[in-house]
Amino acid sequence: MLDGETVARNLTEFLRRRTESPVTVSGLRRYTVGFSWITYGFEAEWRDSTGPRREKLILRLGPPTGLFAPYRAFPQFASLKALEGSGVPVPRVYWYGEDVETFGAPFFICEKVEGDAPLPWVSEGQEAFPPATREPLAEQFVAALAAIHRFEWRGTPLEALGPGVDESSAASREIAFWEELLDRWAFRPYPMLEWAISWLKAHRPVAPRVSLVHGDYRTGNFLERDGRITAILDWELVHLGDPIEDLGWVCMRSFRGRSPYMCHLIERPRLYERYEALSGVPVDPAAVRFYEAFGTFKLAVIHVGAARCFEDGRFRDLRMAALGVHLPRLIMQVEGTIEGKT
Amino acid sequence: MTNSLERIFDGVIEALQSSVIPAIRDESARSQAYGALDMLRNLKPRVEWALGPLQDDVSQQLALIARIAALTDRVAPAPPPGPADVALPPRPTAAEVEPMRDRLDAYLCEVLRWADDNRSRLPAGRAEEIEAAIRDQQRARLKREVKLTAPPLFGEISRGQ
Repeated sequence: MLDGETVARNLTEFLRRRTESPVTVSGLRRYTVGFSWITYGFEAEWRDSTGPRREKLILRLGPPTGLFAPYRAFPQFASLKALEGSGVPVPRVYWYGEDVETFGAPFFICEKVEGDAPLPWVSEGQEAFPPATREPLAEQFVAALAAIHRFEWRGTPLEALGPGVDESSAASREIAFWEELLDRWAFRPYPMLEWAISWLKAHRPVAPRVSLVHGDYRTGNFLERDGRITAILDWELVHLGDPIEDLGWVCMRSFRGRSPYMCHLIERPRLYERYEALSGVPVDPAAVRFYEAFGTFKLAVIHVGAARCFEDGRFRDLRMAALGVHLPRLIMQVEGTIEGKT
Repeated sequence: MTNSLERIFDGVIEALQSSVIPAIRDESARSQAYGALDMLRNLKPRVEWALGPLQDDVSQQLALIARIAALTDRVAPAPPPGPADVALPPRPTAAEVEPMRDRLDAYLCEVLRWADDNRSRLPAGRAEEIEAAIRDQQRARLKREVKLTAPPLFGEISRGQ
C-alpha cells in the first residue's frame, strides 16, 4: 500500500480535481481500527460556491491485500448516501472510486463524525456501560437498527446490493456466500464447521421481509458522544437480506461475553420488544437463534480468512494471526449456539 | 493453532523489525526488543508444535473412524472409502503428524456430507449417531485447544493501548 506521504499528495490532487479549487490537506493520520479497510483521518481546506470550506474528513481504502479483497467501494458509499436524512445516523459521504489509480485501492471519502467507538470486549464480569448511559444508548441503538430495516431500498441504487433476493432465498444466499469463503480460505478442514453448514441449510428461516442489512451491527461499530449515537459505521458487509440477520448478530456471545445485555446494551426480551415496536418486523425467537448461530459461523469464517491472509503473507498484520488463535473457541461457540447453550 | 509455526515466527520477527523497534524511542526498551528479536530468530529452527497433542488427535480420529466403519457396515449407499495410508513412522515428527490429522479431518468432513445427503436412506437415527460421534471427538479436541489458549486481547488489539 501507499505510504502516508503519497496518500496525502494523492488526496490533495484528487480533491483539487473534484472541487476545482486549490486544496490543502493536513493532519493525515492512519487509525488502528478495523481489520479490513484502512482508515485515514485528515483535514481539508478548499473553496466552493459557498466560500471557503474546512472539513474534517475520513478516507477509507479497501486494500488489494485485505481480508475480503477484491473490494468495491460502491456498496458502502451508496448505502451511506441513501441513508442520509433517513433517521439512521451516518457520516455524510462525498466521493468514491473503484479505480486503483488514485490510492492503489477502491476508496471513499466521508465526513469525520465526532465521537468514540465503545468496544464490546471488556474483562469478564465488567460492565461496558453504566446503567445511566446504557439505557439511552440501547434505545438509540435499536432505533437506528429499526430505521435501517424500515428503509425503502426499492427504487434506489441499493437494489444493486442483492439482485433477485427474496424472503425465501435470503438465508440460503448468505449461507452459500460464507460457505464459499470458507472453501476459499481454509487451509485445513474443519469438521465442526462442515456439520454447522448442514445444520444451517436444514434450518434456514423465511425472512419476514427483505431489508437493507448492515451485516456487522454491534457495539464497536458506532460512535457515541455525550450519550448520543453520532454515527453507525463499518458498512463493509452491507447487503439486502433478512433483517433478523442483524438482530442475531447483535445477540452473539462474542459481543457480550457472559453479560445478560446484548452487545452490552440491552436484555434479549427488551431488545425483541423494542425492535418489533420500532421496526414493525415481527421477531421470531427461533429465527434470531438461527442467525445467532449463522453469525457465529460467519465470524469463525472471518477468523479463518484472517489467518489465511496472514499465512499467505498478503496482509502482514500480526492482528490477523491473533484472530486465528481464537478460532477453536469460536467453533465451540458455533456448536453451542446451535444447541441453544449460549 | 491456525497458522503455521514458521509463518508465526516470521510474522513476529518482521513486525518487531519493521514496525515495533523503529517506533521505540527509549533506548533501554529498544535493546530489550532487540533481545526478543534475537531470541525468536534462534528459537525458530529449534521448535516445532508439541507432538503429544497431535498424536492424541490422530489416535482419537482413528478410533472414531473405526467406530464409523462399524456404524456404516453393510449400509447402502456405502460411505466414502476410509483413508488409505494412515500409518505413521515409528518416531514421527510434528511436521509428519499434522498433515495426517488434516487428512483424517478431511475424511470426517466427507463422512458428514455423506450422512447429511443420505439421512433419509440410512437406518433411522444413524446419520445423527454418526454426526454426534464426530462432534464429540471434535469438541474434545477444541476443548483441549481452548484450555491452552490465553484470553483474547481484542480490546487492546483494536485500541492499540
